This record gives sequence, structure tokens and C-alpha cells, in this order.
Amino acid sequence: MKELRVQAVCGFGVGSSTLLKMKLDQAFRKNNIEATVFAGDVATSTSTACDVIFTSRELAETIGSRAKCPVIVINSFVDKVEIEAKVLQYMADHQGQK
Amino acid sequence: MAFIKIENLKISKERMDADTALRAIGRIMVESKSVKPEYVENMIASYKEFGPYFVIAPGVAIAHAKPDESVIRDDIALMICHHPVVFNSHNDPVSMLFGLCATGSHQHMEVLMQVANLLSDTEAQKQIMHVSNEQELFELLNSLSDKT
Repeated sequence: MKELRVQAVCGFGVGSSTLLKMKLDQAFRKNNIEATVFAGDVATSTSTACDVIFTSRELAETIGSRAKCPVIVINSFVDKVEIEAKVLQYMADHQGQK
Repeated sequence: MAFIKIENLKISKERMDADTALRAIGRIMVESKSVKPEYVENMIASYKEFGPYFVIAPGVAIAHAKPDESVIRDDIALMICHHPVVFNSHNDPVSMLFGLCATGSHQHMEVLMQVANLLSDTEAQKQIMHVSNEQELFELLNSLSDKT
């Protein structure tokens, strides 16, 4: 399987998205999934090539209709249980991994 | 070493709405000479435009605006709100309000890592809500970051 490109999105790609990126990195690493996770901002997120976007509920509403890839909502950017569960759900739904 | 300077810590016992709270955390960063006053207005404008997405976890917000010429240097501030603030987020109300300013997109990794560690430590968060002044908060943050 080719390496996944994963985008963590917040308003400007500096604060919360960096935090989310770190938590996503941990979740992918823990499950031995090869992924490049990077932070992005809401304005350019939908024109940046990636396989999946993780973001907050508010921004998902903004991005949702424009995104060319699945947009996954994370309620708490520091809750590693939620983040890992959503990563695994994405892998099962979209990457055929059980 | 604490990752937040003592001058950048504040314990607020005031009742505040979202704008007032953003101005209060913004003022700390202006007084620390880390941002120009425009940055604070940008933070509020960003809240109006994008909504409360920066309320990233239950009770926790990281307010910030775009890295631009209104940012003088990378910095972080923290205000503990004894009257938690409502931002109309599903993670309301907010009792730990961080303020962040960055000169570029790739700054702050280390500071944010410390924030993340702190936020995944629920015991530490409880302790933070019980400190009575900024000096105590500073010492608590110091002891927590030494632990990690």
C-alpha cells in the first residue's frame, strides 16, 4: 500500500492543527500504519493533495462540501482514545484494513 | 523549566464573554511585546469568521490568529478562568484559555508538545484549577514539565 497523506486542519495551520498532527502521528505509529501527517490551514486545505483530512466540527462544516477526500471530525484534539478510534475507523472504511 | 513565562500567566476571577476573554489573553501577549495590538483584533475576527474551532478539547481553548507582521515573536500565554467562558463550542465552557502567536507555521512544536502532555494529564489539570495565584501556577507548571 502506498503511504497515506494525512492532513490535520485548523484555521491557520499553526496552533491546534499542529497539536492534532502530533496526536495523529502517535495513533498511526502505534498501529504500524505508514502515514505522512502534516498541518494545514482551512483556506488551502482542499487544494492540497491528501487522502484524508482530520479537523474540528466547525471547520468540517466549512471544508466538507469542497473536500475531495473524506473529512473526519475530531471533537477533542488531545483525546488519544477518540483519535485512535477514528483513525482505525477510517482505515477500515476507506483503506480496507480491518 | 516552565514553558510559559510567569508574566504570561493569569488567573482570572472575572465573568467574561468570549470577546472579553480573547482580549484579556491578547493583552497579555501585547504587554509581553510578543504581538502588536492588531493581532488581538485578528484573533477576534478569526473567531467570528471560523467559529470556536480553537476550543480543541473539553474546557480548553488555544486562541490564535494567522502568523503575519502583527506577530513580533513566538510566544504562548495561559489564562485560568474561574468563571468558565462560553464560546458556543461543543467543548464549552472553557476554563483553560491559551493564547498563541507564531512567526511561521513550523514554530512552537516543543511548546505545543508540552501543552499536549499537560492536557492528557487530567490530574495535572485538576491541580491547575486549584492554584490561587500566578506564582503557584508557575511553580506547578515547572514541576509538571520537569516530570515529562
